[in-house]
Amino acid sequence: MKLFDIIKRSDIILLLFILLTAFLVFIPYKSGLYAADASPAQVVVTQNGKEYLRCSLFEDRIIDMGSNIISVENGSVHMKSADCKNQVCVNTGEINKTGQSIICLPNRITVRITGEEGPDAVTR
Amino acid sequence: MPSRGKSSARLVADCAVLTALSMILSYIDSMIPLLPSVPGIKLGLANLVILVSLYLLGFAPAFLIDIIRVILSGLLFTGLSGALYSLSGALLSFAVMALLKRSGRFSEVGVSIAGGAAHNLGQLLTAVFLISNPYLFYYYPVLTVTGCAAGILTGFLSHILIKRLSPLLDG
Repeated sequence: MKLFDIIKRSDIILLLFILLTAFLVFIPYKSGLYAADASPAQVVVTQNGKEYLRCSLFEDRIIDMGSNIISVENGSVHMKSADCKNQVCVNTGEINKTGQSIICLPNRITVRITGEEGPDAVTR
Repeated sequence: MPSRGKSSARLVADCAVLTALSMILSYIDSMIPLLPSVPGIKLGLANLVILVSLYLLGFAPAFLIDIIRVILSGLLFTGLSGALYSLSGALLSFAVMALLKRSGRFSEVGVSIAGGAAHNLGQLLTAVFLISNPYLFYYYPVLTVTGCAAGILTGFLSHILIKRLSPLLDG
């Protein structure tokens, strides 16, 4: 294939280097280093970088923040509605594992799950 | 070579055409979600135009096209906060691409891959800064791997385009 002739050796080294950085970030995430606290799973909501609310993942509730409405239901969380244009947070859907998060960039809101997940918290 | 023997009116016209094209591609980019579950992943077709302008028109015109594209498509499609994210990504991406191109060691594919990765990194850093939640960084691996794949594609395409368009834009 003629197209592949244009790739130089330095291109491949560059590609491998970039993929390596991705891998290096991926390892601590996968091994749960970011979710080190071992308390039962909690939902942490932040707005403008400050903690807005923290509650258990296993108690159903609706969090009304004005611009966004977050729903905690049956051990999973989803963004019920948001007044922003892109609706990325709403389209994220449900999250239910430690380390997952929903982010609304326009309103600077993050929702994330910390601590152990239900079954793991019992077995450990 | 950039704008040698080319009238300034011709250069302005070329830039205008390329800016319009890059805005259309930005719009198409925003309409094709590669992974609907992860926001921010796009093909990066608009980068094609920036790469082609960088190679055929030179540093300054390509930089202008890039900045105008980001501001206008931000105002039209994503709103001001969206434009802020794109701008930081675009600036970092352009700086990296211009440097790699100047070094002469990389083909269009390498320049494109690095540009895509830098764009993602710039946006992510802005998001981390604005939301002040370093946790966002767990998006980095997904963004980077898909960004590399898209970068290879746009790199090949731009290689073809640069070859085909050079008689038209160099004139």
